[in-house]
Amino acid sequence: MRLGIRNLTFAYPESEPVLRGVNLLVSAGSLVALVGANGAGKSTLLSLASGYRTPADGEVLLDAVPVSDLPPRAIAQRIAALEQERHAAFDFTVREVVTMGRIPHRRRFGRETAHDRHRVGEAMALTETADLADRSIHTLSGGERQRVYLASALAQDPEALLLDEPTTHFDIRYQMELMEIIAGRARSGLAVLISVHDLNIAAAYADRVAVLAHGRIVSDGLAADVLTESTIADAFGACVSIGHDPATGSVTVLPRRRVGSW
Amino acid sequence: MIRRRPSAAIAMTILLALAAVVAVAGVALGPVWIPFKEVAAAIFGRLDPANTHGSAALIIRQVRLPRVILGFLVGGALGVSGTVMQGLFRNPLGSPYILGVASGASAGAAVSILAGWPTLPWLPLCAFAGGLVAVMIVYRLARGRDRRTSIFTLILAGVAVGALFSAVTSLVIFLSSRGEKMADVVFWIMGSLGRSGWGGLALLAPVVVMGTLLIQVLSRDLDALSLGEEGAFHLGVHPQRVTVVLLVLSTLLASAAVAMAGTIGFVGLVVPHVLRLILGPNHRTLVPASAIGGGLFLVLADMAARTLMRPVEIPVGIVTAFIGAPFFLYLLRSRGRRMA
Repeated sequence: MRLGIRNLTFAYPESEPVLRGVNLLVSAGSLVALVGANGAGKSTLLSLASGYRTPADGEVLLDAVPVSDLPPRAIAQRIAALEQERHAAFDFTVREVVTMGRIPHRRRFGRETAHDRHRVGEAMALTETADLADRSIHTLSGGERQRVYLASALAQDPEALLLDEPTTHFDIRYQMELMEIIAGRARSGLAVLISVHDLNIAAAYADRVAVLAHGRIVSDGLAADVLTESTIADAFGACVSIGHDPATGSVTVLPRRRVGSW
Repeated sequence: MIRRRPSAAIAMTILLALAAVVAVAGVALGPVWIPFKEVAAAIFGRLDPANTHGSAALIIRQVRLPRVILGFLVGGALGVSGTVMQGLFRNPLGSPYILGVASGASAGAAVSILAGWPTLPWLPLCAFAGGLVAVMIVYRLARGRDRRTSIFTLILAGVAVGALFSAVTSLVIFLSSRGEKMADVVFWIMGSLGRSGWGGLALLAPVVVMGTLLIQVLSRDLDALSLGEEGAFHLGVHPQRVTVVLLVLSTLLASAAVAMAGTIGFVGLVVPHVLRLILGPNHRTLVPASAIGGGLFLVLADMAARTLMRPVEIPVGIVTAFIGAPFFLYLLRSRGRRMA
């Protein structure tokens, strides 16, 4: 499957447009990292890509079908999305939360099938949340909780995965654990689009990096080609030094401290 | 912390057994104590009205049994309505009383009395209309621009809308204060199960049963909605559509309860909350459990209302408020901060 974002334009009521003609393609088996400054419109773009918001202009295509033509259930059978900082209002158990991922596939009066349970178990194994199954979601640490919501998205058995800043707020180990799981899903055939703040995380795990600035994708390609000092200066207004990790060859982004600017 | 919860089947069995015991006790209890054996005999109709037990059978069939059934229907309606509102507003402090729905419905009922239609089809319809207007105002106010419902906005909106509709009700009382209509209106403010009759029950029962069944059909959507509107959408639920349907259904239940028994507060707050603590938040279990649990709670409260100050009977709304209001304060203190 291919998730195609074509000429997408969007404005919130009574505000300037956030997105002015965004084009982006995410193919099966690839992990695309969306980066950009705070307020650049990453979350907006992801919620448009998931069909939750409706664009003013342009369209989101699931293969050849516009997402806007599909009912929510048909979208959810193919796209799993996690909005930023998901919060369950009540203290569901971990297993209950992961099982919610099966809602788009279950009939209204249907009981949980063996296939549902199999998918739930698989998703919990992949995210290493099986040990937490009977815990209340409210008693977990932030990192554990994020893995549970990821498990719920994977239990949806989607073709595309859209994640809004899944790694923000977590220490480097949790970030790496999550990114390993997500990259693994991309390798196994999912089309994955995630927004990230940490440019090093984007460089280390993504097949492609897309930079969102001024309402458009200003650069899109391999991390080494996209994460340049000039692009970052333009998109973030930040002065950085680009390096290379000798161990993996991936690009590194280091903040460049102003010298003698006391 | 591992959550150990009883299975849904066990919980429902226990609730139903308790409901049966309370139903029999509720019929037996009153100014004249009627032994359980005669209660059973009268309910199942084997008694000859001509023999000495006839008066007991008459009391049971004409007075106590309808009253207990009314208690179960009204309490069940309020329990389910509260469960839905807490789920929709993603907040365990939601309830038909706190969100102003009950005030709206009782204002509707009061207007219909003043207008001279205190009869069955009109009064419940006016109550439903009043409840619907109230809940729509609160929903629009509390939803805000960023689609998140803050607990304080919600409660304040409920208080304001409740005050507005209470003013309507007070105006009606004032306008009708010279007539005998006043007693009718005051009844709706205090809440009582004292006006039960088979005619009203025949109208109320199908509304409560159908409303609860339709809500049960949407129980999985309620689970999804507890992740927020966007989270629910990502699980294939149409959040706005489901929310409107559920708001209308839960308002229908609450208004039907108000039309038959006045504003009985806090049943819709306490019952879903306690049951969620015991059974967990899964709405597939919580909705039917609240239907039974709400009835159980209200019939017990009514037994207290009938006996605490004998021979005077206090309105049951006063009993539920004495239990529910401190509970609400406790919730606000222990959970309010976290949910803001």
